[in-house]
Amino acid sequence: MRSTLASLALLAAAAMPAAAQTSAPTGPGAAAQARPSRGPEQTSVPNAAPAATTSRTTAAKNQDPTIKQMNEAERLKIEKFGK
Amino acid sequence: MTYFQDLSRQAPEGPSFGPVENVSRRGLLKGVTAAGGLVLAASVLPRRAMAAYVTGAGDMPHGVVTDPRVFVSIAPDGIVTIVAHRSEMGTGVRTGLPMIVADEMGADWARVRIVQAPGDEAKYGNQDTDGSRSTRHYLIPMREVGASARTMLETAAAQRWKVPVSEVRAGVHEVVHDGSGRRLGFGELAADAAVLKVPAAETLRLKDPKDFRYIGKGTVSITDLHDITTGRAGYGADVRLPGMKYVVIARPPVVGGKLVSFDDAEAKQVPGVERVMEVRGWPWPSKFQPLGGVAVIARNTGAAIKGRNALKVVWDDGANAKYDSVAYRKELEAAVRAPGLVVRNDGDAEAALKGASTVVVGEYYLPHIAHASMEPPVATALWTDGKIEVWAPVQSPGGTREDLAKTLEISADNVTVSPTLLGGGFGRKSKCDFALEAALLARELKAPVRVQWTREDDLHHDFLHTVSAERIEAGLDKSGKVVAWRHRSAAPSIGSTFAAGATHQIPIELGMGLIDLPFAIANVRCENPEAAAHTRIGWFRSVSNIPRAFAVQSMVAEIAHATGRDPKEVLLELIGPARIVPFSASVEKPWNYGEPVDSYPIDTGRLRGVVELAAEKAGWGRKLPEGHGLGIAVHRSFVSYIATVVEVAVDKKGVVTIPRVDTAVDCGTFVNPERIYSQMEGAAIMGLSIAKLGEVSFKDGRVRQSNYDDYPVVRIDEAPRVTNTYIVPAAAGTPPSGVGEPGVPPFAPALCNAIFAATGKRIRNLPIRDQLAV
Amino acid sequence: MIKVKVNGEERSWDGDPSLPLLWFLRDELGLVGTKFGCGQALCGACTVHVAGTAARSCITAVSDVDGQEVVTIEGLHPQGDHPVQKAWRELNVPQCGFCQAGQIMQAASLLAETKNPSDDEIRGGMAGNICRCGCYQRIEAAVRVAATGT
Repeated sequence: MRSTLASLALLAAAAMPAAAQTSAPTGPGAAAQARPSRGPEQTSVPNAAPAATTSRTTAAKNQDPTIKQMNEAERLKIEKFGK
Repeated sequence: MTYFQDLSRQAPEGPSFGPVENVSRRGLLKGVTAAGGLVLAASVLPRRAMAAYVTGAGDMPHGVVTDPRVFVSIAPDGIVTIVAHRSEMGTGVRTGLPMIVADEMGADWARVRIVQAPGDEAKYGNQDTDGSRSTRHYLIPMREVGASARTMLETAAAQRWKVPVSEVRAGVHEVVHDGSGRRLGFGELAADAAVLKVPAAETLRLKDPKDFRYIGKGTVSITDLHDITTGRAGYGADVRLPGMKYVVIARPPVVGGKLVSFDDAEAKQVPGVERVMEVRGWPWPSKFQPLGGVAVIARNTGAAIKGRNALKVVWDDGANAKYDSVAYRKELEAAVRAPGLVVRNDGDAEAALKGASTVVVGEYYLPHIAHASMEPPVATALWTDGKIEVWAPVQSPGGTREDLAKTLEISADNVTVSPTLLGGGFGRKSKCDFALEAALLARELKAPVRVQWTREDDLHHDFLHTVSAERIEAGLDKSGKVVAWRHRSAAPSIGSTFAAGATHQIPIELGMGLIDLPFAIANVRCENPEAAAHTRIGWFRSVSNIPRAFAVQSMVAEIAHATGRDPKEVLLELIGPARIVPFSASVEKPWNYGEPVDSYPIDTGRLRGVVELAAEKAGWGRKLPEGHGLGIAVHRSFVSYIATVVEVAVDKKGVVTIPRVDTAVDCGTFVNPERIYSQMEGAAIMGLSIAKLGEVSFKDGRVRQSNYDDYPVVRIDEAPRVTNTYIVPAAAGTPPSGVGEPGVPPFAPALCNAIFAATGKRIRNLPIRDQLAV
Repeated sequence: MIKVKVNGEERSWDGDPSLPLLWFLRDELGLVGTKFGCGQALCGACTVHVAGTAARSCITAVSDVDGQEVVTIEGLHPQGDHPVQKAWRELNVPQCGFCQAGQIMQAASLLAETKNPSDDEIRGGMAGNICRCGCYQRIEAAVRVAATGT
């Protein structure tokens, strides 16, 4: 790699965007197309859950036996092998 | 019985992952199985004379397979086809492991083709592609595969010429008779070799490393290189089946939540949308089972997305509805200011802290981060007569197959998982929820189905890297020597994804940078206060090493500053002299990345070695221009040793640029150095994203970020100008160690140490974002 | 009926005119070389050429390219030997490779506009294309090689 330290002095002076989002032209007429919506309209029913703290666990109880077994097998595998 | 079978009819033209070619891929493997070849699965890899070390490979689920008939096929025209059994997500193992076979065998790489194994661990051995262990576990086994194949070809030639086997040897893609100069190509010998017995493992001769043509050279490009540059490489969304439906799913925004109702009247009006239906979810924690929600089924992905945008959905957010990152952070920080479960205790750190002349305290906070690999999760499934076939970018094709069988309640014999190339994994694609979603829908709809996750889905429904608070108190005596070290680490555990109510970190998390601290300090105490999880926690490239290395290596520099000394000198002094450091006897379940300590001890000589090398190459101590600073960090993880020096330039507005990064890597015996360079270059970028930008935060139980605008990642104009990587040459017989992950942890602390050196500002909470803005 | 030339071949579409070009190419035409990464023109994985210039196909509607010429990665060069493609292979640029088609299309367009870009022009011109594997150092070098031969 060529060292580009010499160009840093110029870089500091130039108005470079810190994080360009899109540098390419986006195509003819694309400006007419609004950015697509990001998701459905969502609402939630009233919820009385307590604060989600470090000490209160919120996991579901009463798992079905197959899931319990799958979870336990994976837990043991991770404890031993890592992943 | 032919295992070196004729593939010339079956080998697909072009890429192995093109449009689905069922016949070719299944033909190869059916042929091998139908031939009745025995698969010699070893549950423990025995120690052999030529392998001076043992790895944890044999202990992994389904162990190691070294039967050449499973991995190698030779066609009469000489084309050698080698099976890659590990997933390809950019580390190069799909090329590297077959390359080891080819080199040992004497094959000419130009006449080698690679096919990807389906998920079948009984046949191929363990296929989990994670933990930075494919190469370190498979260097010796793949050499054995190659040596077996070579031996059988030599034996076949000797029999044909009626000469002793000792007089023949494999050259390049041929066997030669030394005396007469006769030679036969591998293709000509394949049929004869096919009927021979696989040699006993103890009788195998491995090549002298000086005779390697490919291993260790860095001259072999990845097998998919041409296809990647021409758009022909096949990833998860590139599998196309006739009549396939395209699906996107609206999933509960809060983990533990469920669907109450939905209104699909508008969605069904969207052109191209064919059906809208509820899909099943499992309550958390349910391993990798789907979250459930509402599926929109359409003729193309665009219509499905547009249809989903037109849905109105009502959720019951469940028990995690109040998860709030601001509040939770306060709890974590409070937790590490109080005693917690003791997980390591050498000497008496409490007393030593009380008696110390100075106590340097550092509290470090790192938020959840998302994998956000370029390819969002996606899977394609086909249900036919009680059998399911799934194509997906999965890191664990064997595990995926097992989970599909359990979820569909069918025999694994009726499940085929064909891993595609992965557009990045970083650990996200070890969790096969997206494959399960596709399979369930394929069975329900009786049509081929592609379930595509959008970027929003990927960020909202990740198995996130955990959130952590790390507090380190270092007690110094009058001379500035560190005599006490107390490190408290609080973070919701990966265990919580598999066990309801887990509030403490599991041994692997404690073992990644906490209890394995290798410093020469007499009094070391590590504590783990409890932290309950309120989202799905998973493993992200290098896992708990990220917060631990950040905290420990930042603290080293803070100690240096407090004592007016050079950070590199303080680091070397803390590491202490070159020696093997045993795991503390006080640790209940020490974890060494699944490896035997004999083969992979904690070796501070190697730790010092990479510090010295990186510092030397970076010109540590050189005069720097105004506004520049150097920072150094070192970390052992996945049994490799990596040291990084970062040079920053911080301008008057607080904008940080990175002129240079120097990384020293000690990964033992290495196979594909060109891919080690690329992994280290990439790890620097990943580390920079973590340090500077990455944060997933929660409010009202749901993830606040949606796409690359509010979850920014590093782009080319923020990348270091130069990243240099130096690989430490390994003494012969040094076991190979991990490469995919270990480059990540040292980067953030080296960067922040450099920023401190340049500005006097200490960053303790990531991401940096605007903290330096003036 | 919308008509668009894709890689030199006349194609037509009478479905939803607002369908993003990305999905028309991938799902309807089976040209899967162009990738989906974000759907919001933030990552560049979907980059194609429209009338010879880089465009993000995820936010370009099929109706936007009615009567236009579109080139995808598959059509960039008949043998895959565009100077950018060759430079990419020479320098072993990709890791996972998923973003690389978009990177190559962007680079090809950049070089068509700016014959010999400076380092900063390369970095600025490619900043719309994310690579999560972190191949940036090699991407920058490959664009330089493609531009200058060195």
